[in-house]
Amino acid sequence: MPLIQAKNVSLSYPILGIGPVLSKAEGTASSDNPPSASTGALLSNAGTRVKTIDALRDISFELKPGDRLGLLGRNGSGKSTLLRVLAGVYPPTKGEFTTQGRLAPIFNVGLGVRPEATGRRNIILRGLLNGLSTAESKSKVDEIVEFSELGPYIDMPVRTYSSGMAMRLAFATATAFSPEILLLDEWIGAGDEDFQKKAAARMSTLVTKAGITVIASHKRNLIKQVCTLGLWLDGGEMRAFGPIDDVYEQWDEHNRRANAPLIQIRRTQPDPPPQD
Amino acid sequence: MTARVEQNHDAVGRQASLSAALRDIFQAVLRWRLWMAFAIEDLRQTYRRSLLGVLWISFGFAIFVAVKIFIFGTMLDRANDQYYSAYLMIGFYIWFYVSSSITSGTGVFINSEGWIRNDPIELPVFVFQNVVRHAFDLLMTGLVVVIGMVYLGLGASAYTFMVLPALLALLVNALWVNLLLGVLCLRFRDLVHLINAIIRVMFFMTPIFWLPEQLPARAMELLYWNPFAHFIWIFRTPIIDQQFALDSWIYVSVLTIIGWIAAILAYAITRRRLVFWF
Repeated sequence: MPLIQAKNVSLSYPILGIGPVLSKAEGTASSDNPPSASTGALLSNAGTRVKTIDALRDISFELKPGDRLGLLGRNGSGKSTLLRVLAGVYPPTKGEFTTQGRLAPIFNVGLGVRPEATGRRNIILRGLLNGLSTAESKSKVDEIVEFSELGPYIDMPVRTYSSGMAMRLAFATATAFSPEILLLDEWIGAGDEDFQKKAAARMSTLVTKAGITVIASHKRNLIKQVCTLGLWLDGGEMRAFGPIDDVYEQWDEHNRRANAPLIQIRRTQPDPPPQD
Repeated sequence: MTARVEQNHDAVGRQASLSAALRDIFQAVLRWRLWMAFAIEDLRQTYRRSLLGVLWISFGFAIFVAVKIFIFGTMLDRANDQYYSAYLMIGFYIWFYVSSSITSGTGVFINSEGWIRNDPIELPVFVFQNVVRHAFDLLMTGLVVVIGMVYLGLGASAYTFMVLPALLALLVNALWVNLLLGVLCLRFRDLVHLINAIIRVMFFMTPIFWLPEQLPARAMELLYWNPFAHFIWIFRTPIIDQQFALDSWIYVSVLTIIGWIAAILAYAITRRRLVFWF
């Protein structure tokens, strides 16, 4: 059974090649400079030689089979970093962290593919990566071509694909090798409406097979449609974790308060349309 | 064979773990299908849409060696000297492999960013990928050497079989060099350029086209510390001098052990942080 367990996970990582110049200018966070006042996580270690980012701080949660988690938060709040921790790509600096189950990470178009190779070759590479033999990987090609609707493009180099097509290939491939944990970052929105529906449907079959899905997205519709749980990240810290509607409620409440003065100033203007 | 991924990340983010490093290397060996496929993809990419494809490896080497034999042979007045022709050919054969395997080794991790930042793959996979890809060069240019030796009328002797352990030593050393350079160059990007510069210089300091006998005694002593020379000697001496290159084998053996220890330590210390160094 797939399982994800995070206990007090923190992650700091160095930003190489920046040097000490920036750290003097920005300093560390203080009450005047709370993390949520800007995008991005805390920059720390002012004055030391290597600049580090405290990308995640003290994150604890647990996902059981069938859970579908939506990660929400502003740009740079740590959603993608957390996904990479879940994938086992970023080892956490502190805390304990366990994943069990076959992983399918899709983070960015262009990551984890060979752009010069054809779609077909990339499917086989992904199969090999999942521990299948070449023959077993080849046997998945037809199914993936059908689902992704790439047709003859499957024998073209991936660099010739549009971002939507690359997304179709990546999603179809990742889900074809019966993953138990599906990790999706953001760009799932690159597909057209038809494909998004198809993708959502496939994600729900994954759930009936008792898998775990984690999606980071700014698309409220998509998250509400797919996810049961929500985790709200703010400056690398966990603000809320729970049923998706509750988390969105807290998030809206927070945004209302944060934006209140702004709305007063702009009273002459019509209210902004509700965020969707 | 669908392996279950089980990961347990402990709290010791900065602690070096030797056993974890060795486990990574072992797991990477088991993923041979993957790194073979990656290496084939590298070759396809390099030679795609060319008529001769990978034959260019042999062809390019043959042209290069023929011209060099002509130029240096004429210069040194040894144009019709089979010994010198074979000397040059074998020298370049090993040099091409050693230099290309080192210069490409600086980028084993840098060039695989897209995979390393997306999938939890044991990093030595990319080392095996690069070594196999260049071992293919060694094979394709080796064919030229065999044909060249026949053409020059230089036959095999019992010593010729020493080329097999010599080839093995080349590959075993390429592995640690790639692992060590991969780690160091990912962190310190200046090393990439420094190593390229060193390789260019070493070409002239290695007995590829000149003979050690031409050196003064003092320079000969220095030459003894040149690892590139020894890798050429373990290969060339048995073929053209029909001798067992004992000194060079001792040198290479010691280097192999020290190199592997250094590479494994470097990897063990850095393996959890490498992914942040892109």
